[in-house]
Amino acid sequence: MATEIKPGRKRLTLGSVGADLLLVFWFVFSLFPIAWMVLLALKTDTEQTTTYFAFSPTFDNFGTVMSQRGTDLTSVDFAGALVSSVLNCGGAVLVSLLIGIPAAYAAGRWKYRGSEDLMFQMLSFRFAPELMVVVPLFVIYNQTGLFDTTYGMIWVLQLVTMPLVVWILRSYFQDLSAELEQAALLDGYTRRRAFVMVALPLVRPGIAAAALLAFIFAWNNYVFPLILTDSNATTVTVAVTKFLGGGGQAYYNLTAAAALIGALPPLLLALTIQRYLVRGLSFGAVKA
Amino acid sequence: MTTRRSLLAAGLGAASLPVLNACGVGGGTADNSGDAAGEVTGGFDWKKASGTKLKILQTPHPYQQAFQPLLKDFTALTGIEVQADLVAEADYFTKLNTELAGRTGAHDVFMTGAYFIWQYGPPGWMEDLNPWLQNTSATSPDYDFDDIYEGLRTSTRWDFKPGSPLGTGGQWAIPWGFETNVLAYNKRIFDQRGIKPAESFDELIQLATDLTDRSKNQYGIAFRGSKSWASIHPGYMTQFSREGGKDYTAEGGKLVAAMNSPQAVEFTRKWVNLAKAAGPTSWTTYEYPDATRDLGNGNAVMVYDADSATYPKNRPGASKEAGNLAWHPGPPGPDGSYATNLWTWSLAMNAASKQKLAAWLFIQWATGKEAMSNATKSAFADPTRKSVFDGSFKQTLGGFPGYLETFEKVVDQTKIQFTPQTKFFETTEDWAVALQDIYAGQDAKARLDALAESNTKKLAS
Repeated sequence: MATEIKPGRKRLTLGSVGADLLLVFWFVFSLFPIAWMVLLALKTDTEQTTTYFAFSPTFDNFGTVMSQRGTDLTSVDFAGALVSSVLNCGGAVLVSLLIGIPAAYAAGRWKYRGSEDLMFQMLSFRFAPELMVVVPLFVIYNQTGLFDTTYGMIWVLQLVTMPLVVWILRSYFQDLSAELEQAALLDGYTRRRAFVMVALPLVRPGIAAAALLAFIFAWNNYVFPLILTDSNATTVTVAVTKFLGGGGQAYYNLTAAAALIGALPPLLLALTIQRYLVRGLSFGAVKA
Repeated sequence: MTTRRSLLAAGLGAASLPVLNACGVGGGTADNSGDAAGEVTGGFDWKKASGTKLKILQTPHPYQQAFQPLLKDFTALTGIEVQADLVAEADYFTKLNTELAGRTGAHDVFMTGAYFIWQYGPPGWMEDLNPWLQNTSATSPDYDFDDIYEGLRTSTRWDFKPGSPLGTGGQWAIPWGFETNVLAYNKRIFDQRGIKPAESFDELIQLATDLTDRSKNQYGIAFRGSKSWASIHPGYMTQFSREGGKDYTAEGGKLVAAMNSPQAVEFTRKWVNLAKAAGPTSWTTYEYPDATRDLGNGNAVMVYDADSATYPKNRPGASKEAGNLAWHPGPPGPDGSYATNLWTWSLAMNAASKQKLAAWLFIQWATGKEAMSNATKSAFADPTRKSVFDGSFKQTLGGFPGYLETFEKVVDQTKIQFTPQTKFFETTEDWAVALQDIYAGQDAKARLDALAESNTKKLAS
């Protein structure tokens, strides 16, 4: 007689225990750099280069990084960079959504000659090395007054955020049955109203996922703010590295504290809408 | 000083140069005729560019940090506002390269190392400061350029002709802060053992080997070994020069690589063996922060690197071994030579700057006696002016045994020991790779012969 396995319970075998142990090991291994960074952020200047785990932790580094004290010590205005990052990335995602949602809808609904080429060209913005385009952008930005401005950063981050938004949302629109909109059209809706009233509410999870991913990618971008900003519109990714110092004087503890603070906004955002994230990721990954 | 990432950046910068020129960016030669300097007439006045807003590009460094609080003094003196923008050392030269190649003049003044003049000077990206120095309308009578150590003044001059020595041609930057590459050691451990620093290279090898005890996580000597030009320039190039080594010789107007001479091969073999016997176990990844960290933690007993890199580790509270460090010139060569290689962070003017007078006034102020004296109250080591070193800086060296004596011993023989050439970064990185190959087991002579042949060809092309 076959053994009955109750729903929700897994048979315990050597293999399954081994697999679980392997996963636990991998979990610890993967998180170790983050754990190390947390420890480093809690160390004093004297202990920052030590490798032992037993020390007297201090939270002063977080306060130093965010305050004028840190700016006086390191010449880095990290709080300002944090605000800039939120403005740059938030603005970039907003613009990408405003333009990208209709673009994705059109790309998902209509096929025409060259439509795939157009989509591929948009995708190419993502995989072209940023250093290839940053020099002419630097010259243009200096000539047009966009250099070191929030507007300039929002503009250039479209290269990062727009392809993501369009490609992810196109998958959502393709997945959505066209019959729903056709029914709305039969009911007398205009195409625009059918899009706004029928299609758009149904892809809200996709919009949330695309916006989150676009925000994370924009937040993590390094090359554009490195070259196209100075002090006014610089971002956390660039500001964090400045704590590393030079000439034998480094602030590894402040660097770690700044990196942890800098990781918080996208992390909090991800936690807020994480249930949409997996679907967004899987669509972006497997749908053409 | 530079890290591995900064090397990458330098390499990237060097690699991108032809691309940038091909894009029509940065090509040709700038107008470095000194016209802008010539336009300044009348008596000297710090207020001549009052009302200007100046942008300077810097990398986080004790020099920069020492000057940051003083910028308001400059504004009060000149009426010029200063915006100081920082870029992390790892990416500094990527950003600087892009800016200079873009010819936008976004930053008027920038920090640079002397070696970078050999790359940024020939395309015309840097202003020749000699006409400014010569113009009494633009330069204060109190400036006293000759007060800057001679080895530093010459290290930032070159005529860009292969084979020409440093000290010829334009003055492309003014040395601001610098470092000599000498030995720092843990005096506590030396005193416990009743030993003194080595006075010959062979003695140093023996001493470092004796001090190595891997079971106690203690090793004799740390120096750089990563795959980068910056691994060659500090301890290696200093001792290489003292032992009679030369990187290139000029033959018939061409440079011929000489890093495979018998003295060079013998020294390199010993240097790599020293790394194996008494260096860090992951020597081929070591950069200066690793070496100085190990000194500060008490793992490395000696470090052969920049004095200014080890200096901060002895400041109270800065490291576990703070207060226990001391300095020594390092072993002299067989003929008593204390030839020492230097690194200088200098201030240069962007040739595309649209406010050159204000830029010059800033450079003049920052490298002047008063501002540099004030900067030495912070961790500004070493000042480039003799009067400042002998004055305010000496007073800060109370808890730094041997620092002053070491400096005075080597400073007259401290200069850039490399032959200037426009492919410096590429060919010197190849040199570092050769050291790693020898460390991995390749024959020193065969490997250096191959390196010399390759570098000679590269410089001829």
